[in-house]
Amino acid sequence: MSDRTVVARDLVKTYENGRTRALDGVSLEIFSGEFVAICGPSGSGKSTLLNLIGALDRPDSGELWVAGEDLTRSHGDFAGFRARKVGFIFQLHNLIPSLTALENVLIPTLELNRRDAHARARELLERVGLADKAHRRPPELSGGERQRVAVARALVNNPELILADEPTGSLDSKTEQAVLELLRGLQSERGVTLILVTHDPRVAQSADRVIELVDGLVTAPVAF
Amino acid sequence: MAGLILKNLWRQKVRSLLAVAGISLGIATIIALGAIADGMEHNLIATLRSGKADFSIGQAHAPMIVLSSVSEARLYEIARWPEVKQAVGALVTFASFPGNPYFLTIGIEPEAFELGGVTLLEGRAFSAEDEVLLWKIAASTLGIKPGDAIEIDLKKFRVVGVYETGNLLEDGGALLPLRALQKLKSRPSELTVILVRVNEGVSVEEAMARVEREYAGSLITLRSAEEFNKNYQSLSLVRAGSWLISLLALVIGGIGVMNTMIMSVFERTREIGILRAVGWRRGRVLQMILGESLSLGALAACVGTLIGWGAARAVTLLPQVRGLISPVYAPDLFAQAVVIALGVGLLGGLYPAYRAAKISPQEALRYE
Repeated sequence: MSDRTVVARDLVKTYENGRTRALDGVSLEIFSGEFVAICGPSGSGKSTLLNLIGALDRPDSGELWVAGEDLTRSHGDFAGFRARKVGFIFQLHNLIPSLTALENVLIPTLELNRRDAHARARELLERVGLADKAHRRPPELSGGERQRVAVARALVNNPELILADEPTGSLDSKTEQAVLELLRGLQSERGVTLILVTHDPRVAQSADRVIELVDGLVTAPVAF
Repeated sequence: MAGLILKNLWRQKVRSLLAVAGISLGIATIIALGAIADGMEHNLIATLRSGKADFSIGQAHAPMIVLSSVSEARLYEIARWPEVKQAVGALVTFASFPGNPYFLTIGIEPEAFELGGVTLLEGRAFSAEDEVLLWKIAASTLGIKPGDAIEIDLKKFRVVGVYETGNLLEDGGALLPLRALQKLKSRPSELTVILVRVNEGVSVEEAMARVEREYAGSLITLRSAEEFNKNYQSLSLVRAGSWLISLLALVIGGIGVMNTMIMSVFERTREIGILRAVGWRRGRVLQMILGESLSLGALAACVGTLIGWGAARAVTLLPQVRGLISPVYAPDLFAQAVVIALGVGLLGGLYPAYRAAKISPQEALRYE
């Protein structure tokens, strides 16, 4: 737990030409293999923070290092970084409806051209309990099943960290619990860092540590 | 990737097919008009190279060869030149035959048969002004044998023989004595072309140059279809017309592809955002969209080629042109069509692909 996967210092992110301050100087550290929940009410800046950590967006100022990469550098597209280092799970599974479960899991592997991609995708589908539904398309799957496909997709490239934005937000409580257990299990058995954004304290409880955001600031003190 | 591209197109079958139909139309036009123009050119090459003539002489600035008009006086002048071994004249025109109002009819003297490449298959050459020779296919189609009578432009003639020349244009109908055709058409002392054979040891180019020099502005010499193209406008007009129609069809097709792809990119904004979020580079998104538009082009190339081929075939079945036009399906015509179809697909896909590659993953994921 000594390696730091995420180091953020004084992160500021504004929208609408500075009128909306989504993050107002956030500093935090997340260690390798940790399961951290970023908690906070709607509009607190937690999704913005997750987008910055996942290199989907860039901060206006501050420092941000994720998996050894400086995400504040101004040049270049971070697609390669996302492909190799990060696995995303979104609130709405965000699968491609025309593709089968297996093809959806394979999508991130196209970028890295790995030879074992197919075997890995099948293994992950088996691990999330969908081996027999590999050739079903998302409309033929239940909400929980779709989210499990999304979990397999997030892990297919062996990322260092998984970023989950309200991954159980659209699920009933029973399914929510099953998906959380699956995530937790996969996180510990594969030693990946899991950062989960939620507004639900019950979901946050399943994490090793909770970072709370209110109005774009971390409320609990963070030790460096 | 290929599978993804095809699935994306399959999802919007109707839209994809409409885009394909748009390009196919252009491709079909290129194939059909191209094959017909090539066929016409091919026939002309055959006409100009048939027989033993070294070159032909026609009227300068005539819009097409059958509209060329050369005075018979020129034939007598040129025939006397020391470099000329033999010069003969022919009047080429259309006349009405039973069942075909536009039968290609050639007025030519029997002594010119060798130079014109005419081979008698049956019967004999004509020796009177009311005698004709029929092209073998015309004879068999009309069921006419030597000895039978035939009406040409409402005048009775007697068929005395059957011929072939080995090329379609001259084979198009009937041979009449030159004088008889000149009378029938009220074009006395008028020829369409003069066929010239030079003496041994004389350069064909020099003889041609002399004609061009002495009759500058009124006569031109022709040796090949390319020269024909340069001097007669009918083929160039067919080609220009075909290109214009094709271009128009392709612009419409290209706009169709662009519209299809832009709609598709717009509808898939969120999906493209997901692809970018899970690590797809802009280049890969670009490849995917261009792959889709290129696939539309490739499919259109196949469909368009088939339609064009069928259309050119259908044209040759029209009674008015049967025997006159035989489309030539040159491999480069198909290659050209495929390249153009893919080009239209590619061009139509460029802007949508650029738009897709510009999609920000973070904004796209918020997009409903």
